[in-house]
Amino acid sequence: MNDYHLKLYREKLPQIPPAGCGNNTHCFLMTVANHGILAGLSGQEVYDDIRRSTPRGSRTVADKEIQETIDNAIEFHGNGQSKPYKKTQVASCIIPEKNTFSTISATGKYSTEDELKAASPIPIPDDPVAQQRLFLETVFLPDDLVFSGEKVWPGTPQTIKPVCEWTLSGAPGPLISSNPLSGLMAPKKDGSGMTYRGDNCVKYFRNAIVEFDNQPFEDQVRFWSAIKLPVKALVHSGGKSLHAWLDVSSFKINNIAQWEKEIEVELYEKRLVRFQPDMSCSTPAHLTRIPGVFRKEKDQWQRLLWLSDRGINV
Amino acid sequence: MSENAEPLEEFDKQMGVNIWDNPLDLPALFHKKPPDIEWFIKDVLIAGRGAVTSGIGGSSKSTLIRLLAVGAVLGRLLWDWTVCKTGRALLVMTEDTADEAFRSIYYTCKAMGLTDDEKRKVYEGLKIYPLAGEDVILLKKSTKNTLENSPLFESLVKKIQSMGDCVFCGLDPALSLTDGDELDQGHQRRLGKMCDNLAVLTGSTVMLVAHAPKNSKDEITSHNSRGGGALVDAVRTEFVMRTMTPKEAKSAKIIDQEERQRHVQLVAVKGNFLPPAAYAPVWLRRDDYGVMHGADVSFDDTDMGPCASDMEAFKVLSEMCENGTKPRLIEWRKKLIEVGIIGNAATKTQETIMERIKNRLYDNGLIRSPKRGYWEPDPVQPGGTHDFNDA
Repeated sequence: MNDYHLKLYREKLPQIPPAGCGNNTHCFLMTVANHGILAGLSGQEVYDDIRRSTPRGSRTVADKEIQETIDNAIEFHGNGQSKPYKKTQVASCIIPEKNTFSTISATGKYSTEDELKAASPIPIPDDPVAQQRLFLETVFLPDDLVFSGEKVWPGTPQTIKPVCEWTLSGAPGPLISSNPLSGLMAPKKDGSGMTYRGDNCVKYFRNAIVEFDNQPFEDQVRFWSAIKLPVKALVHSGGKSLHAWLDVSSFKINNIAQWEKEIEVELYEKRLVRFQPDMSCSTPAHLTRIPGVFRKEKDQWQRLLWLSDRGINV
Repeated sequence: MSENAEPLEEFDKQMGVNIWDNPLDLPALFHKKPPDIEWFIKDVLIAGRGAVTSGIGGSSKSTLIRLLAVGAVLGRLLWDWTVCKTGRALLVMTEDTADEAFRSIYYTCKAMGLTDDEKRKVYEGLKIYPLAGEDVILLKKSTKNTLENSPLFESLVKKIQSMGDCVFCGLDPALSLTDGDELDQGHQRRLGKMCDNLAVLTGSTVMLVAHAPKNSKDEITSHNSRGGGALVDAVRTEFVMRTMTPKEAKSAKIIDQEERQRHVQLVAVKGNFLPPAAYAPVWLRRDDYGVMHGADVSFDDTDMGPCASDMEAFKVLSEMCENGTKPRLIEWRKKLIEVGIIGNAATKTQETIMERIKNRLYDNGLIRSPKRGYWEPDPVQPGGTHDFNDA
């Protein structure tokens, strides 16, 4: 038993933050798992300790997430040799503390859905189907391959199609991949297999999704009409949040490493984290809600509220 | 966003990421008048900024923040300070148990003579966190030995923001809120900055209670808290509280030991933007519940007799009695307010001023009380006159 790592493991266990809202719980779990494995504990012991010590947050930490984290720790450290874990160091936020979601949203121009629609550079049709078509045609190019379907659906020729086909047939939703895919199979990020719609399958890195689902809807509208970020579209989730499609083409990102540097670190970790966004949206192949789909459980349409052909301030 | 611009340049400018890009735009302000200072307590405590109150143990620092919190809810205090901004209040009392906190609020309400409606307003508007026995660290030491805001600080900011109308927040005491070293100036400054940051982020006036060294001097100056004085550098206002010295008691003709112990002095020793009058010490008297009221103490060694305004007040009383009626003290006071001899101020202050005028006139034999609560000029003795110009 390694006393040094055991001490750190015991110190860190009770400090696991609640998941969701940018608390970096996942990274913290990795730290705890690393110390546990390096201390010489079994995977099961570490699993039980982490499961017991993970507080309830706005996001549920699945058993699988903990298990995979421990598997990684075992893979890295199981032979007793340390390997540096890629993302233990989270970049510090550079946005001054005086800027909070509340202070920014207090300066917003609009507060309602109708005001947003009226201010949209491209007029928003009332018909949900027409909204979806207009959205796809504006945000993507006709040849772009995008996934549409449920979260659990795999990437297949039936779920990944060129945008021009989706505009004809209508995308089933409720989700869509935020960036065009290559159509080629690539390894999953966690190394657990291959996929057609993972982050490694993204062909063009043009859009980043940002959402603040822990804020009142009106405040989200105010926030987006105040913040100076290049917004291409604002989509109502059909629940309680507003999803912003940011135009990140000016970052000139060509690969996943550049995406991690520019979007995950520069945009999210160093800037947006101040406003507590849903950090899970920061991936390039993030599945987000597409307008023009009826959300049965909420009894509401997923709808387009604001649209521009390029990224501008709302 | 222009195509050639750095992708986040406009956003960074809006957020003030590079502070040197955002100087105060003075040309745009050329024809504008700056906004008035927003006060929590008129001319004493600025709204939405941090303050420190220091004093030795037993000088009623905790009682002060409790009374300020109640004052924030009710809009009045027990001495002549004017509450300008009312709303809810939050107290983090790290040395109080739940019973102690409840007791202190119960007796505060009782001592203030609150009606049921007022008491309900206090009970509903005040959030007290009695946290004795808990670790309440708002500043945590990092692995690099720097102090960083803890998750508890972040959640406190959110809590206050979520209250919406929290105008006052008291933190008691400072030392229990930080991992830092009391003697480290850097750590102390960070503590003061945390207090001011909390105020700026939430819009509440935040008062941090700090202990003072035991050898506090009679003449009180700034940076009076124990340990690194840099604590005070980062806040806008510093108050000091201390008990009455035997010398002061003698000067105030207070001969009873217990009576002396009841008196405490509250004095502003640092205050950006405070008018000079704000630095005048306030004497408070603790009642049987420990609640502080404005004290009527005078340190005048010589009796100067009634002043000009006293004689004006006497003249008013004489006129009121001309038709044979004898006014009650309250009627006399209202008349003095009406003619401007007693200025606009809190009722309690006006009462105190009236009491002083009455006492001086009475001590000089100019008035008498024919029955309890009623006053009239003392009839002129043969050969004597009331000369209104001799004051």
